[in-house]
Amino acid sequence: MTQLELKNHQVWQDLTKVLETIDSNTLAREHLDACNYTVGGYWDEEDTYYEEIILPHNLELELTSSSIGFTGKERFLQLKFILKVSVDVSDKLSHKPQKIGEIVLIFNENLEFLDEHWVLDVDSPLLELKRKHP
Amino acid sequence: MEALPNNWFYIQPDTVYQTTNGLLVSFANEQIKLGIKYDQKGKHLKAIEKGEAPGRGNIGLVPSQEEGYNLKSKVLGKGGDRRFHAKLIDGVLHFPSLATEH
Repeated sequence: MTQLELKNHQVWQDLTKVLETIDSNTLAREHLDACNYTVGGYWDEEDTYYEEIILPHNLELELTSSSIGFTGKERFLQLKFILKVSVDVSDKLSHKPQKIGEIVLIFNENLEFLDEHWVLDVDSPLLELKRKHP
Repeated sequence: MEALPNNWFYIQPDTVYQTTNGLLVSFANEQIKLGIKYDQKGKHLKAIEKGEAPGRGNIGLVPSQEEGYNLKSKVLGKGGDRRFHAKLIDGVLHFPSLATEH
């Protein structure tokens, strides 16, 4: 049986080429702008529901993974970012970026937005949380 | 008309429920099974109850990209790894049982 040699497969060069042409940071910024840095409804790890979570506008994005896949006929691009904020550390001169969460954005092959997944650190004082009164 | 329950266990197949916003919804038996299996906290029902929402950054009903489907229920955060798709049939949003990752 022929074993698939994935390590040196052409697919990696092709993927790199595709990803080089995509301005992933701009795609993520456009998304954050479109939702006005606000997540309208979020469930945390304890199944607590937040009506709204407002993200700081000065957050920084770090692309941590990119992938291309398909489900049936549909092809998609998936980008995962870490959301960080530089916080002034009083006893140091440097700024220390603090992680406030992650976002996964999924686009179709025309780079049109399909979906998103969020993981937010609701304990972070940098996020403004709004819970609904019972 | 009955109000949309907040737990999949109380949903009967092909019964039309009404959300607080006046949206009419119904569910196939297979969809109810999916809900009971994957959505024990009824987060998707809460999303459906919320109604139509802008496609980006929101829980609720957002446009479905699946052919023949109109809207999908979207949950963000824990339990947000599935979308349930629905078709608008004669003014009722029906969930046949199509679940996708996005």
